[in-house]
Amino acid sequence: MIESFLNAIRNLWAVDELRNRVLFTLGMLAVYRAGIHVPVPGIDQEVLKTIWGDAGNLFGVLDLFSGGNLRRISIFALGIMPYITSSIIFQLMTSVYPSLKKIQEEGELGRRKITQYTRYLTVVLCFVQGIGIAYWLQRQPGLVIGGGGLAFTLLATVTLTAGTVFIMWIGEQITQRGVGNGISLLIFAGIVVGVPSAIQQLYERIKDPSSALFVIILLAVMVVITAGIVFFERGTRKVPTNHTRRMVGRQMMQSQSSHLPLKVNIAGVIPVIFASSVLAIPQTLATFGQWSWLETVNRWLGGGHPVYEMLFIGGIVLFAFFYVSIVFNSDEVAENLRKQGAFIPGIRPGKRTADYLNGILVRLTTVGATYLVLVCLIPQLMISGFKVQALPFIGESLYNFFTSAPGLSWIPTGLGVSFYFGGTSLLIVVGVAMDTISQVEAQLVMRHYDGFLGPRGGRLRGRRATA
Amino acid sequence: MLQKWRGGGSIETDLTPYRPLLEEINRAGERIAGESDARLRERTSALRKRAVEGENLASLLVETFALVREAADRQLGLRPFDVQMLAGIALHCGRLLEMQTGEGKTLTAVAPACLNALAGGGAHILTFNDYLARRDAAWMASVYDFFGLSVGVIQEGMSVEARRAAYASSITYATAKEAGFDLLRGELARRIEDLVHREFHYAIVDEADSIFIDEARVPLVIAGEMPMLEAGPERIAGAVAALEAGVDWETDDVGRNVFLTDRGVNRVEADLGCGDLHAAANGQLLTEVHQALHARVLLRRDVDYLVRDGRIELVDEFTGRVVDDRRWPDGLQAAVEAKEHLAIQPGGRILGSITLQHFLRLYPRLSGMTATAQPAAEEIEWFYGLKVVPVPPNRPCRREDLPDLIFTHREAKDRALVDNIAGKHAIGRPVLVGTRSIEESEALAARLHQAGIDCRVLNAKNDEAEAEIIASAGDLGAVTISTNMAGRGTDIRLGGVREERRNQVVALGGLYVIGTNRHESRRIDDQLRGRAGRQGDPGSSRFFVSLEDDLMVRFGIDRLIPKALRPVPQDAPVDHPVIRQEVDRLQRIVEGQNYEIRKTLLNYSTMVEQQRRTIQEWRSRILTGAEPMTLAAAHLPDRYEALCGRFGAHAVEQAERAILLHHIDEAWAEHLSYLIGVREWIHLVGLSRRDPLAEFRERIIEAFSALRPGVEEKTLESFAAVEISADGIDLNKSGLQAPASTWTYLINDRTMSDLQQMLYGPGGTAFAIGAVLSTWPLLAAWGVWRWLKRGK
Repeated sequence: MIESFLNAIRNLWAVDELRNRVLFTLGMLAVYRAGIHVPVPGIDQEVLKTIWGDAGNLFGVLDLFSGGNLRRISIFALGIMPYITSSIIFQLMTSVYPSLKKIQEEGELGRRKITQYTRYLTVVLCFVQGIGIAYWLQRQPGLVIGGGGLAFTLLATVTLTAGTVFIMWIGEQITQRGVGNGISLLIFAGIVVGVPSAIQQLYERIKDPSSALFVIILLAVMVVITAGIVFFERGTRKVPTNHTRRMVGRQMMQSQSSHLPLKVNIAGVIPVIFASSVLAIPQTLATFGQWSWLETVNRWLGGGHPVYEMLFIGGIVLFAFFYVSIVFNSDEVAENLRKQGAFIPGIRPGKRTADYLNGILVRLTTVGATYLVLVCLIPQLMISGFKVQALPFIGESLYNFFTSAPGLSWIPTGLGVSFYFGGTSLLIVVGVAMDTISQVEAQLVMRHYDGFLGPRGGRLRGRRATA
Repeated sequence: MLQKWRGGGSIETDLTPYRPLLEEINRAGERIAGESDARLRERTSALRKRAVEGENLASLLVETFALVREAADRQLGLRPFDVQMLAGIALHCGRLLEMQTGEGKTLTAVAPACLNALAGGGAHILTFNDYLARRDAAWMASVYDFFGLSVGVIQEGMSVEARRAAYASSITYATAKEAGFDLLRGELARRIEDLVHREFHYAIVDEADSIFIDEARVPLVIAGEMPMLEAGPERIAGAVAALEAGVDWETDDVGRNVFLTDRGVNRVEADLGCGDLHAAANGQLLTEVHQALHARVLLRRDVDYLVRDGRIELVDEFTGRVVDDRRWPDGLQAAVEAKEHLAIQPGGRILGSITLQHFLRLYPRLSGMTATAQPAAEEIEWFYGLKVVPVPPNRPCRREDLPDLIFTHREAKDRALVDNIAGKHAIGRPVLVGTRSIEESEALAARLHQAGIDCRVLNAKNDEAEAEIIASAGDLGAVTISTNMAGRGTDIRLGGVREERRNQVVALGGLYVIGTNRHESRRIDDQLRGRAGRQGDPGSSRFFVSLEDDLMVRFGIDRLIPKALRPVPQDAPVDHPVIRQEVDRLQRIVEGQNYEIRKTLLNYSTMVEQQRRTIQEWRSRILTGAEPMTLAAAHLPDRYEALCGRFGAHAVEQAERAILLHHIDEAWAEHLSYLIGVREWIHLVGLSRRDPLAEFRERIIEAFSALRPGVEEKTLESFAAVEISADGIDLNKSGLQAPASTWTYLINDRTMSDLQQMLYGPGGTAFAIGAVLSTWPLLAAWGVWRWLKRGK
């Protein structure tokens, strides 16, 4: 895949239109990136650096998504997220309210109307979130120069709203005049810019001889896991199908096979995000006040605590099955196959096909959920450790064993490297990268394709995007 | 940019930018008004000479237009109005004119056609049907003659020689489809003499919205003969005929596909005694069963086809006319023939294909005219790059478009139709009724006869009487029932052939047009309305709709109208603003869906089109001898030398060319069928969240990259084996008859479930993660709601 991507890049300078599109995209991304250096006015930058303590898992993901803008309270701190929220809200409403559904059905015009509504709602959401952030900033001692007040709240809110609207515009411009999907690229760019500093952090740790060995092991594990992610995300089970509405002659009937491709991990990274979001509720609650029971809960839900890990695993498995059952309605797929004149050879359409597909689905999802659990758990345990002392009965002695055993002392405490190298973020980074690259590549191939038998005698530029 | 979003950018406001040129034309016109014919002819030949010498057309425009006007005046007694001159300039500038019916589109097209044909490149005027091509060419010939320009006409069923001569003329009148099929036929030509087209230069498309939009949904396909399938379509047709609707088979929501239920499968299995129909071994049989079912349920006699002289004749959906030489793809044609108990004709296989969109884009300069362009302006600019210019009518339109009468059921509508027609007929006002099918036109005619009203029917069955029926349709007391045949391009004169009756008809209110159904697009409705009120005549139009009409049922009017408002069956028309609004919305939904189909077709065909061009460039270099034949000499030197020694290098080279052409055609046909096959199932990759279009492209690129090496290999194989004599080769050529077949159906690309579409649709994985992060409680709630709902 990477090779073909590089190939496409190498050839793209030859075509004016393409080169311009790529340059446009890069330029737009640069504008977006430059925004990180423009802070919301009225904030003391020195104080800002000190207030982020050990930010939690969820904050990490959110910051990853904002491309670091959130941490620095730049004008783009809200990122593209309000737009995404608004878009989801509208899509959910469309599926619930018949009157919106009708508008959408009118095709291009209706869709444009809904896009317009989505933009309006984005602005409203920005305002609400902006006010929330402004209040939160003012509650941090010394952060807002002069203590804030209504003027600051307004200024910050308007700035953040304008920032998001501008990002939205950048995204649309990229989609229209650049290559790839604007939103996807903006998020991708935000994630990727964090990589160099994370690598640097890792490098610092390698210089320290006491942990060097383990960091190297960690690195090796990461490489293996990354490869694993790529392998699993591409993995499909091909269920053979036959189609009976073929227009052509009978030769074709026999020579062409088709199939129903079912991804091994249909749910993708979504169960993981779901599980960590749900488990972050108590942490979020803690920002509103102090209760003793909440502290206990939060201690249990700290990274590496057995309770947390158990719930996390359970959550991933549960959400994986739940998601698949919503997304892949076997009865519906079977019915659609029937309507399209397709069937699985030897299996009757309708109920039996649905049952057959269900059986495959359960097996696939079991494998997929196991893979997600492994990918998330291994790096996380290496980073934040496994708090064995919290285990009942044997906890104490295990803890003593590990801390005294040479070379294993990191197990209860973890290696303490950046969140960046956690399983969740690896899943996100690799998933988003694979997806974005293949989107861009598909476009490059399409725009660049000019036949290959022509007088220029060139050969095929973009190969199939298989690894 | 903002303007473009709102759709304003695709329409030019008026013809003002062209006015300065018009003034120059008028001045030039005054100068030449008094000159003799001979002097004017000298001027035209001087113009031609300047154009051939390469002078810019813009600098010739004024004089050409002035001369066309003068020539039209002298030759035809028709002097083009200023508006027509302005419109002609816009046509030259590559615009799409919106011009009302009867405002003289035919005459408007003459000046730009002349101008663009001056330098010798052909100007094509693509008409809506053969009849109009014939009529317009004959009508305008004398003007062209004045310019020393020749005119050709293409008609269905013409010989290759006649076609080549017509395309070699300065100006050619043809239908867009015929011109497209000629391109496809040319791509199968084995001899240079069989090529009919010249290089494409300039085209004016008449009834452009129909060609650009409505007909563009179906690609042009050319097919050659293929050996028969051995399974008996008659036996299968018999088994399928016994099945019952709703129990043994069902159709999908919009009635584009039909499929067997479990019970239906059991019955067919029992009838045919074939065992499990879905076993791998029964694949061919199942296909034929499906086709028989399709033929029985979805293709209706006297709607989609006629049976005449023991043969199936296809009726064109848009023109309402019978199309010669058109067939359904092989199995389906046989299934229809079996259904009608006719002799089964040999099947065909697809040899070449092009979409109308891509065909029209082959013209470096394209323009068009129609009466209904504005609703589709944005799409036309998007797909074809033409801006729409509305042309004001010479005399303002006085037609009165009455609001639709909406009925709850069909019976009430039919009764009201007869009453309404009877009422107008009683006072002698001419009525034109537009129906959707032959069947409907005949049923209505029967009802009218019962009611004692004399009427004439115009449909594909009696198309030979067309000119005469239309000529009298505007006469006092005339009632004309028509199909789409009278929908476009027909000009109905008030008073008919007897001019003196005109005033009487005018006094009664002019022509009264009735539509018995809403069409799939507002534009088609408007075209039918446009038959009334030509050139400022009075006239009125009214549509009758019932909530049981095909279109209404297929696209679910029941679902659109809120439960509380659903009317109980009644005889009087319902008049509720919400119902009216939902009927309009339904039509917009249909338009939206058709737009999606065209967009999908364009998306999927763009890369195929590039491959087609690549192949054709190569093929035409071989056909014309531009590419030297080196393959055999390089790879089979011994045989090559031996053959050259016996027959001479020239004969051997000709043989090699012929073999190569044969294998290119074979490989291309195979490639086409491969990609049609891929197209059928590729949407399924959406289930694993991959983009079907991207996957489709990958596959066809891969297949195409193997095409040339494959062709060369096979050429060498044939070259080594084939008999060569002094006269050339004896290749067992595949029959290259050119029956065209067109058939399409909707494949929904969106196989992703709604949740997946929601999460991944707008921006892939990145968007999905962001969405879950920010709205997971909502999503979870929605998911549970969904889950519970499904459980019920």
